[in-house]
Amino acid sequence: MENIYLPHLTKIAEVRRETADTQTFLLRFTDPEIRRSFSFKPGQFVEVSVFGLGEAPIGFASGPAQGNGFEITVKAMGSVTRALHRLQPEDWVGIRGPFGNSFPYEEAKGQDILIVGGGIGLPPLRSLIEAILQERDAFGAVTILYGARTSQDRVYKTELDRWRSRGDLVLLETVDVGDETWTGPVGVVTTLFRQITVDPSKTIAYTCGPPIMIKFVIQDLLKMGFAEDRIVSTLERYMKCGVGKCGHCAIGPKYVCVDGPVFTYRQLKDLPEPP
Amino acid sequence: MAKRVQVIQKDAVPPWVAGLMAEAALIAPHHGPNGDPQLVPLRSVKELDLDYTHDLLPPTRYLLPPSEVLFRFRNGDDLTLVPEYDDQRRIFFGIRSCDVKGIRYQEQFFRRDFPDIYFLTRLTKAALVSLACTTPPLPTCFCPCCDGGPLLKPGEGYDIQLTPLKGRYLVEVDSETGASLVAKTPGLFRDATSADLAEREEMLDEIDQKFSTSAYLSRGISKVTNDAVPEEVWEELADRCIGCGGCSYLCPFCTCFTVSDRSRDGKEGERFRRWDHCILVGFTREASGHNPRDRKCEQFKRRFFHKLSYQYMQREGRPGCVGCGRCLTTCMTAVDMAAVLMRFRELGQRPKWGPPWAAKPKTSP
Repeated sequence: MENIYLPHLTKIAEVRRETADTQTFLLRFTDPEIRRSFSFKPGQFVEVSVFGLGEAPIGFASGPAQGNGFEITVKAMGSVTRALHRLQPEDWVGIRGPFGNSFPYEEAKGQDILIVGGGIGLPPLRSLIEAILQERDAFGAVTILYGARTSQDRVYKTELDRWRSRGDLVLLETVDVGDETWTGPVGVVTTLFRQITVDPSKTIAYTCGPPIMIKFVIQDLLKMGFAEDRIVSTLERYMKCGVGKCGHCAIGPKYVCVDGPVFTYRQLKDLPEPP
Repeated sequence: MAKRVQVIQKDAVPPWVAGLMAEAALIAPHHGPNGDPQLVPLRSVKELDLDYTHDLLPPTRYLLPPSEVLFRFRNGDDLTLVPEYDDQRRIFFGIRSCDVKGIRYQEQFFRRDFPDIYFLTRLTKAALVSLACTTPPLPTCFCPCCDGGPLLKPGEGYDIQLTPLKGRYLVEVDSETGASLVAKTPGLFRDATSADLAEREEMLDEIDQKFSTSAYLSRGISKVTNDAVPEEVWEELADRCIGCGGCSYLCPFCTCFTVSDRSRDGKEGERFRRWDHCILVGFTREASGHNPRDRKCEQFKRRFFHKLSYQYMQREGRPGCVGCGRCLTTCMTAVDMAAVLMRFRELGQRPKWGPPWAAKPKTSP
């Protein structure tokens, strides 16, 4: 019987600073067999161990085809994530997973794609975006909306520039609070809906971000005419085990860690604690 | 496998148990220094005292301990993780039907999807010898309405079931494990006669009359499943809950836990898990401070939704209560399972407690 609580060991291969409190880590399994066989889908997550501090659930931030390790982007929030920020390349990190379901992907082929991310909600969506861009021709129009609190809180500045320069997608950005370094739109991410044209009948919308943002994004998507099962969101919950045992992430009869973290709005609205 | 019904004389039990103790830890009822019955590992056969109702602490604590080490780590040039498994042989001897159901429920939960090696390692080394309730139940017991007892049917999870008769026990074997416990000392047992079985039926008929608490679990299930409990009734009940977690600590069904690391220097340490409860305010609090279930009422509803909703019955195969009555014993503010179910039955009527205006429907301004 496999021990579901025993992490596999990775070493940090690379650390990139995204913002004052957010870093991206490239992790590689030390066991070559696991490194080869490890695969995941956008939307899934891992339990990240800093030994001595504990574990935290973090979504995959890189595209699924990356064979040589994977990336996570982590904001320093609690004791584990703060400890992770203190680690250096070559330091040990434990990984369990991949866990959870994933963003609907195959069924989105042939459809237009609308991606709405807020703050630290962009990393899991980046995994999805990279997957879509690897098979760009399989999808219709791709629109990405990203809102950050301030221009200093924007993650993935390099990727954002790269996506913007592609020409085969629309990328719009906004910040909640403007300053002298920011020349773009100011306002919450939903204000960008006025600047885009989407056909709700042939578009699938994916959103990830803070709970309050998700709530307003869903409200606006419904007003725009999106069907409930064309709105795809993620739920975040405190979780410990990742495998439906510890009980923390249960909402109604669902466990976010095994039944989620990705849900359509049709599923979400029937939960006792809808967004 | 031979499913046999046999009989053992009461005075033959000590030599049987002595044989069992030679090869496994025997967790059995024993009256402690203050007279309370406790399920503890016995040191000698003399400590065994089957004349008891039940232990306030369910025996599931030996399979899912309040706290246990998952693995130890050492962080140097190489990082090593050493898991710790407890494969001690245990015989749970004389535990009650409700607790057998609790253990089998937890087994099913921990076996499903992602098997939990720590719980299952202990359980596969364990034998369950249950003792049917023919003595008057505690005033808090309500197992008959929860399909939790007082007697188990074959296939409900015991390896051996004992039923006390006059001067002897009926011995039902329902597994290979159970058969092996009897096979060591076959001379102590004889096959049961129809007179033995008839005596048991009589005793059980008598016992059925003696339960004073009836909790109407099925009504509660329909109310919770159909969201038919008004919010103000949930508020009224949750207002009285002090969130101590006692009901969960004593529940033979509850499985929730949290996981933490312990290390003095970050170089060496251990990861351990310990019990956690949905009724506690910090259960869903995230690192950011955001708590999606920060209201007492929501935490309280969560506990009863998990135990009573049809959605969970589909998932777990049965309601999450066996009627052991431990939450009735511990709850200081009487918002235990039976009290909540009784309150549901009074919906639409004036509650028995509280001021008369509490029952009036709230009008929106």
